[in-house]
Amino acid sequence: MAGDYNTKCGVQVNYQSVGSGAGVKDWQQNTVDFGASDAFLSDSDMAAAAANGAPVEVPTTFGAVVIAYNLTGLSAPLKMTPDIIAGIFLGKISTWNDAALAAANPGVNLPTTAISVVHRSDGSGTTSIFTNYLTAASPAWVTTVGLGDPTKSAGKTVTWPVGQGASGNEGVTQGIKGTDGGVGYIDVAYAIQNQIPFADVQNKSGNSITPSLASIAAAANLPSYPPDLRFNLVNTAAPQGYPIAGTTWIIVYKDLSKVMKSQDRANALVDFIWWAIHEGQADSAPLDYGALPANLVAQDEGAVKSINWAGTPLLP
Amino acid sequence: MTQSAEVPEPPRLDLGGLRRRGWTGDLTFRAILSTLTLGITVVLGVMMVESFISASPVYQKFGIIGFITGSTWAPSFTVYGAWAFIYGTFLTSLIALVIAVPVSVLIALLLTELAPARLRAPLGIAVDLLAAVPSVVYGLWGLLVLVPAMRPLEQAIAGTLGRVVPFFGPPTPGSSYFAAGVILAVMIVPIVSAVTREVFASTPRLQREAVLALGGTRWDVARTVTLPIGRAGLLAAVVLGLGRAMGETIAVTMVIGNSDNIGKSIFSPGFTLASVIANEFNEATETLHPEALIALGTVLLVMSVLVNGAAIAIRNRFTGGSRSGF
Repeated sequence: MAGDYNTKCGVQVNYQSVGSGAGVKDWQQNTVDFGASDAFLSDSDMAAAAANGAPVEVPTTFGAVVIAYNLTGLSAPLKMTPDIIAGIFLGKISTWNDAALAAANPGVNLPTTAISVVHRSDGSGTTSIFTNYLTAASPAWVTTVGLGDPTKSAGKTVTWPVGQGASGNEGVTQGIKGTDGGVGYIDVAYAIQNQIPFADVQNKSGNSITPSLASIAAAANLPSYPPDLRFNLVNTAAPQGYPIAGTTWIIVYKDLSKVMKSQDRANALVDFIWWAIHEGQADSAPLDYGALPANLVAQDEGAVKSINWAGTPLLP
Repeated sequence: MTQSAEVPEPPRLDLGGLRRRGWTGDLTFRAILSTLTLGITVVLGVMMVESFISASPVYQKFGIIGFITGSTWAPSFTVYGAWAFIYGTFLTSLIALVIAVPVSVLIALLLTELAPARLRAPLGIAVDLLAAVPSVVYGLWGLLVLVPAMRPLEQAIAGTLGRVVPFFGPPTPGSSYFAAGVILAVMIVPIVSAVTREVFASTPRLQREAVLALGGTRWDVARTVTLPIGRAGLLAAVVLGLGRAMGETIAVTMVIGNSDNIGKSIFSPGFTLASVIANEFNEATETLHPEALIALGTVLLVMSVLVNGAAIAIRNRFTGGSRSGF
């Protein structure tokens, strides 16, 4: 997207592909002009950056996390319920022909293969979306991983009871592909582009939903969004919504005069964010990300207009 | 690398020119070398002190002993214990040594005793070249080739021996302590075999010829002369290999499975000290998490210094400390 912006507007935006944890840390330490994260800032994240003033978080695109697996001989996607997903990642379901999986997939000839769990080893927004979903959908997950505390069972890193860790979507994918019976959670766009099979997931309404741009949009298009634009999409109540969906935010400081050297640079940054929530949205669908609905774009505009240089708005 | 069985004559020093030109050049030379040597020592000292100070909040919270022996690593709960990683470091290094040392000794014997003289140099260079392969390449090869290739072997062991001894038990997800140990073994063979080769090659020619003159075979030479005389050097080589294995990071990270839990089986995923630092430092945003990782670095640094110190001590004990440094 930043490359596209460069060809159209002639401004070079350097984007480092790091995990959300590192992105937020760099933004707090002011080594970058803006951060992007799949998790909105936690209260402690904000406190750590308080010296530079309040942040503005601008939702720019929607994504989803899929349960990808490596099983031979299946003709259709497996169906999973929240209990099954939690059971697998808690280590309670350890073979693919487990009774719970068999019950959710009637008529499917499930192999006796052992389940081999792969999770992220780096702090990641993908992990944040996935663990927020499990925390919302599975009491057993909160009890075991968070010891009853939902703030500990969800986040960019959690204490995994089972499985092997791998770095990045590509590392997890390699871990899944390399093991017969492997399973892990990865970004939907990455899974589609690399043609890895992934499961349909039963949502709150009891419907089994295939992750797609349509089902992500169904989960993401809310009638209204909170004023600070921090919201969770997981475990959606929308009947056709995919339950493990999430948002990517661009994070900047509200008063850029405190952190940037020149107002020209700040103007360029605000122009880029404005472009990202308008023209840039056309880049979303081809990359398998969900575009923003009109009501959210309107709210985003308000947020971008609140960005200022020592009190003077950078946009009219 | 030339393999001469003769003890080389030390070249005679011609001191005439030195006396004529006086001592100023020598003094400058000495000053430069002393500064450089001192500089390196200071850097090591500063590293240890700095990392200890940076990590001190962790030691204050858990105590040094508590941190080292703590078996839970849970950044989200602000609980940090290093034991799982110390265990992983020792276990993978041990697996590496068990595989690499016999192989290295056999390579060294082949190159010093058995191989035709014409083949010794090329073979030696080939083994040395293994040390020049970047570790990330070893890691990729391990992840894409070695781990899948070893799966049948792991399943066979886990299905037979593993039924009796849980330490070799299933499941066998592929990435594991065992996989990391095997990769490390390949990586330390060139180091251990190179040092062992030098040691074996420097065994006295007279004794070897004496055994041959008595009608002994090449194997008798190896058994009665080369191995007993080279034992100390071999031990030093092993400890050097251990030092390398303990600190290796990227190749291990790629095949060890990166789990904070202590694996019950040799086939379980885990972490070493070096690999957990590489994996988590970039994204360490929880309270005390960066400090705890620096503390792990200190533990690794101390362990490496101890192991390398042991290597030097062993060698000095058997050689009278006549040579210093490898």
